[in-house]
Amino acid sequence: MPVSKPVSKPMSKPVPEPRPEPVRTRTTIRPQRLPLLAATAATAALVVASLFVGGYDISLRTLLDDPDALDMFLISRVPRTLALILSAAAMGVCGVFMQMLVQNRIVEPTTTGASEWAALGILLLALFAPAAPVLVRMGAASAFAFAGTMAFLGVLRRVRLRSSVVVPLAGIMLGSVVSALTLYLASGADLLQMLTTWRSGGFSGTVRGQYEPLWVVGLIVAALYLAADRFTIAGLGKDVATNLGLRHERIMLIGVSMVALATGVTTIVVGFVPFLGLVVPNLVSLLRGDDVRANLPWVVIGSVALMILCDLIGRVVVFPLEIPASVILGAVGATLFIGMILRQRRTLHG
Amino acid sequence: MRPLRLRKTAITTAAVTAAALVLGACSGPGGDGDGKAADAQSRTVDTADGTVDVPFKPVRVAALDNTSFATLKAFGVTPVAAPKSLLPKTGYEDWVKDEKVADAGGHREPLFEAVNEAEPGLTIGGYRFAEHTGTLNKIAKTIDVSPDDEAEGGYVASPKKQTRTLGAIFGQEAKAAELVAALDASAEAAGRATNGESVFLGVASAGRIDNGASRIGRLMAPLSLKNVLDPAGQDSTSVHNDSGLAPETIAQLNPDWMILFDRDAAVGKGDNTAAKALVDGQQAWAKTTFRTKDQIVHLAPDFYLTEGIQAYTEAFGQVAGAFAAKS
Repeated sequence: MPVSKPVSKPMSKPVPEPRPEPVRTRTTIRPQRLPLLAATAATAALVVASLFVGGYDISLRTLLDDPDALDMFLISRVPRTLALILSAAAMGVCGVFMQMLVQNRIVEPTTTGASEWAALGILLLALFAPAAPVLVRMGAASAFAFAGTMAFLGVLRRVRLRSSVVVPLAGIMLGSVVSALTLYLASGADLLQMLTTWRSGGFSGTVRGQYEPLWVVGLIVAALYLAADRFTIAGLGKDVATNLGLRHERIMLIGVSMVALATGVTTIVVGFVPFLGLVVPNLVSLLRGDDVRANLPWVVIGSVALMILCDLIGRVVVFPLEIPASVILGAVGATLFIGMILRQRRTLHG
Repeated sequence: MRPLRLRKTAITTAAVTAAALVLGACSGPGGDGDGKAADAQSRTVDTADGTVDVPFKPVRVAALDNTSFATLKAFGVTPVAAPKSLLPKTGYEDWVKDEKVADAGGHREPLFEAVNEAEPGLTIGGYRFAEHTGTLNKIAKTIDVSPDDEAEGGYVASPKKQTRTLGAIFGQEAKAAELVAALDASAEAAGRATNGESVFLGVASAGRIDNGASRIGRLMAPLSLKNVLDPAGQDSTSVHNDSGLAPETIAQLNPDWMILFDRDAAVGKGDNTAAKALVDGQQAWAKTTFRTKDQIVHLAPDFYLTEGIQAYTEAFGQVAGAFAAKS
């Protein structure tokens, strides 16, 4: 197989370059796809690890011999792994779209305040309708995440100075105000403990019958992928998008609703997933440029790999107890994030 | 600002205490009503902060430590201030409704002004309010005699000491001895009923069940039980309690019994139905011994807020009853 083209691409390019003509060889695998395949294989290995690491004795042999092990595999391991994949994909892809819609690289649902609003929704429901079914709780969380994102966009519209730092700062500030309100209410109602448990929730309690709502999130990821080009155009700004015949307001609304729904559902099922939507999309566009649709598979794979890795670490280090994946992700994500910012500074200042 | 307020507090406290001592002869609001004059004697008691002189039979008491509420009630004491949000849902309606009982706020945000205005002669602090002892001491003498894991003789010995100390302060030694004897009898019965079985100490919070050893591991001392998550010793104070536990891990360890502490009940409807549904709905536990044999002890829903000598007496009684029924 001739390797005619260099596999690596320039570090960063603002405009997606036209795709190279497909190199037709007798094999069906094109060389450009090789890195993606390798990344997919590595992620698949992590998925397999996630299926076979845990408190219950499950191995390939017991899976075949022992019906109890098979039961537990289906009750606990498969749902947990699916939950990891779905929520990671959702948070990664939501990060990409928030960054497109706001035209800023440092936003994602946890820095636009959407997650904090979802938490407020959950707390209010715990206060006024503690026995509400899970669908209602998801609706409330998503509605609050939507309201929060709209509030963020509203504030953004009034902010004249849209530097790359001001935008996420506005989001973090709004989120902190909402979070303070949530804490105040929780503290008054003795729900702080519940809020903490739930926020750092993680995947330890994820079992069959509990993760299924995340399939909705999977659908949203698919829908966002199909509509990726429209969002790319929307991401060029209102004027350009309108000139290109796009109903900018409507596409914004649809995008925000989808992101809010995904955030709300994820928050209800597995709690906060910090930094994922920030770090992975940025790393991907740093390495591959800004072709949104072509980058999405990379974002999904990268998010899933990072999420599962963090969860696996959390499962192993204090066995048989666990450390929530969000805690590990917070530490890993913060490190990557700071590294990224330092790198950007260096390129900015020559 | 502070010295002024302090001086004012000191003066009013002194004046009120003096007045209370005189009026105490009639029968103070929290007096034992036997018509005896509360004398000016003081008692020296052993607290978490060393030995302290406290007034004997104080009439105006701020009760902040929730582990002492039931004991104060048993002594016939009605406090002048109490954290109303920390009062158990049942049994304390009279304190909640009584406007003469000031609301001291919660431990995260104590209403010091309200405590100050209630003009207590003695504050029973500690436990959740332990970090506020310094501030409270500026308002009135504050003692911390609450149960403590580090106490001599282990945790279960310490509510006994707390009860005896309170008994000495309020001149209720006989009643205190009665409460201590009840705990001893209950703990001993539970010790006899248990016979080396393995147990999972669970805590239900925010709709999931986690390792509750840090909170209810205290129950283990007099029991002959083995904590499945801590086979080496029973006094687990691992920092990883409450951080996450997969249901499959408990299924693998397959404990004979589960003792469940329901934190959700303290803020929810106040019964155990949600926690029961949580345990029954856990598919991963369908084949465990504790589920198939229904060997689950649900601690009282308000255990989260009581946690005093009476609560432990009741808990040991529950354990003894449940184990006896299954043996």
